[in-house]
Amino acid sequence: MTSEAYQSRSAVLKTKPGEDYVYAGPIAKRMTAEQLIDAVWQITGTNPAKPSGQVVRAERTPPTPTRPATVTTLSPTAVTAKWIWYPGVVIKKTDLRKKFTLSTKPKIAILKATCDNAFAMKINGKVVASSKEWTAPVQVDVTDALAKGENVIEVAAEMFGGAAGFICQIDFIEGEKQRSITTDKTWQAHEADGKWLAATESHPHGAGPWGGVLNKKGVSSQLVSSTRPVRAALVKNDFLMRSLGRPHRDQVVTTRPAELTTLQAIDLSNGDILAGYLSLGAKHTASQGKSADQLIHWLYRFALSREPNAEELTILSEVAGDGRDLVAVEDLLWSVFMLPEFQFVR
Amino acid sequence: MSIQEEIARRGFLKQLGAASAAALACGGTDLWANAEAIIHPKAKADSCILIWLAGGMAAPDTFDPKRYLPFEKGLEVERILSTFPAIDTAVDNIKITQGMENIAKVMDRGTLIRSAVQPDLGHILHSRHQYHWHTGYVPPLTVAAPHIGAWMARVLGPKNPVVPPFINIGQRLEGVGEKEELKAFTTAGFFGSEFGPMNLPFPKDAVRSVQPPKGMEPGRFSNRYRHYRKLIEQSPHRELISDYQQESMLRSMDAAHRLLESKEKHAFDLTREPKESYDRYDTGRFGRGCLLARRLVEEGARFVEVTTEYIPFVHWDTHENGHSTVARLKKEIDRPIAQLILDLEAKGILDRTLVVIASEFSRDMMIEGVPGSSAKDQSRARSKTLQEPKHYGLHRHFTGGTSVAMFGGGVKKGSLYGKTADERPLLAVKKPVPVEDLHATIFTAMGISPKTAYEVEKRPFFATKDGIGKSVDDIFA
Repeated sequence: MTSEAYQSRSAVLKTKPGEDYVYAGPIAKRMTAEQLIDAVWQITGTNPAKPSGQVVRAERTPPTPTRPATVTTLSPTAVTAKWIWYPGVVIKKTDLRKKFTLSTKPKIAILKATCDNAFAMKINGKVVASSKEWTAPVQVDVTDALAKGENVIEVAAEMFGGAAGFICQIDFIEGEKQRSITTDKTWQAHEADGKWLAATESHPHGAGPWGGVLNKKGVSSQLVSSTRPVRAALVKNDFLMRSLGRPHRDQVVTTRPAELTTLQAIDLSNGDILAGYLSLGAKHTASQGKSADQLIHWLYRFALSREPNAEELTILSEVAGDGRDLVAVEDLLWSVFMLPEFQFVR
Repeated sequence: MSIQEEIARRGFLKQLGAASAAALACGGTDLWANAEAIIHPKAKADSCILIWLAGGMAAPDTFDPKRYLPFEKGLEVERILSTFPAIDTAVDNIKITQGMENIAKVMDRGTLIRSAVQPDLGHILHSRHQYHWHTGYVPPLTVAAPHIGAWMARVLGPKNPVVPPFINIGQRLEGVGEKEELKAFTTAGFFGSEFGPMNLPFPKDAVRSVQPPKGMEPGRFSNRYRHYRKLIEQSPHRELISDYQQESMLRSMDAAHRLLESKEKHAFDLTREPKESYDRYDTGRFGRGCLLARRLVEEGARFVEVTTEYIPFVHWDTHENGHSTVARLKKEIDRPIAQLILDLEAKGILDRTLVVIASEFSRDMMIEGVPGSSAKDQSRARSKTLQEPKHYGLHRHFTGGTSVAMFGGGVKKGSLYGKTADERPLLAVKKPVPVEDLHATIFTAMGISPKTAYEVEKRPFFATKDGIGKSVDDIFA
């Protein structure tokens, strides 16, 4: 095949091609179940944390006894972080930051964080975590976000009413030693347009109105993970993927269904699994503080690789509201995911 | 042509509603064209309900009573043929067994076949026999064979365009053992999933399959769809995807939303059934499944299967304690099945609805498979004499003579077909009906020629095995 064929525009047909079809260019093709789910996961940030089984892609080499393979794991560490906030009178919104130096890039680094009520965290300018629910702490692998030399953590924290506090701990292995970065009074706090001040420690972890929330069992790695996303093909077939045409393991197939069926459309319209992705995705995107307009532009660029036109913008603005109502954002995501333009690839 | 004109030309968006029914008939596979023209028989029924008593319903303990001996310690098991006494039915020459008193009263509405037979597949595996019974082909196969419900969906299409044509009630496909095998026949096979089953494992939850997602009120749901359709009309990229692909996708989205916003969706909602009627069916999940099947057929479902659910060694798959298990199962099935027949009759749709009650094979006290079979003895209660209640029951799989009951759909009323021997081995001794002939009969009632074939990789694939199934026309009135 020549590069010309790769670059050719897709052929648009009025009816389904038959035996007599003469190649005039690639025909757009519906994404497979796994491709579609991957795309949805990518946008909603709902990739599963782990594949169902280990896939070893490297060539098999006999184990060498002199250099045993090492798996980097963190030893369990107590949470020594403190709840912090802007000093003085409790204010609704504060920025928090911490600079620190690493002698080497960590082999592994796991972040646990939560905030009463909402936060978004960047490490070295990269968004790594966000949450609006203090009872559900975020746990993510931030290894790739950290670097040798100076690192900076920036947090935008917000309190909706009542108590205010942000807490986080990053456990990591630097060289051979395990260390932690924890929230404490060495962090700096900052009010809009104000001066950077030392943050106040309100309570150690385990005390205050929040208890030992970071020790909660099954703290899930939610939303943002800096590790490579797990593809749908590497997790077990579920109801939604099966409905969308992923075959049973014991069925050998060489083609996938080309058309969306009514039953699939029902599952896409009211199925719990997709609704779950939409709901998480809405929480994720809404927490980034984008306006409705920004949100729609972001979604179109990410999902469709183009800008919305004026008409689309008008329709979707009606759907999206102010961009903060989770229900509205869910509906926005759904509407774009269901577009033929999204589901067909050229 | 400008994009605007192009969009205007594609007026299909507005016509989708009307076009859907016809369009369903243009799926991925084509009729086999190299043979004589297929002439479909005139349909006697428009809908079919298959009541699937999965796991091997012992005919001598249900529809085909033989010599009965009650439990007695020390009794030689070899002497036992039935563990239930016979009872009279509404038809003089038909007796069935104790515990089926309600079904006995409606036997004058249908035909009882006592001579269904299955092939000896060696070591007995329920999933292989169930695959065979549901598709007409013995696995393993090189072709993904469609379920008979998928054949009806493919050849006949939906009866009511809003209601999915193939609905499967009561069987979970996850977490019940042999799941890959169960899934392998609960499919439309090479027809593609458009013709596959809508699975409703829990009748009480069926309504959730046709409701907006949890927590979404109907207003928001229809609003979301309205905006979505507007959005599609405005998409500047519509002309980059072929018409037939977009049309097909939007047609399906439209069909889904039409069902989800239709009055027919209420058929899925058992809470809408009057309490008195609901209670008559409510012997458990299976009973509620029968009620759901009735409600769906009333609204125009084409094919509905209701099962007591296959789970290895559970329900009809009795490897020990057969008698007490079957006594319990009869309590579960007797009332709802009889009520289903009576209700269909009262609503005037029994004549056009074929109800089939079947299982993958029968059971026997002694024989595994058929006499001379190499099938392994799988009884878990082996004993020459009855020592404890768990020994009492038909614990071996028997493929030589099975009962199938059919009601409505043009079959004779109060009729008996075929016969099994009076003494062991209880083989079908008169007019044996193999699976392909049974299917041919069912297809014939539904107006589908048993020779109907579709093309799979340039070869024909027939509705009944190799097109050889012969309808048992004697059972039709």
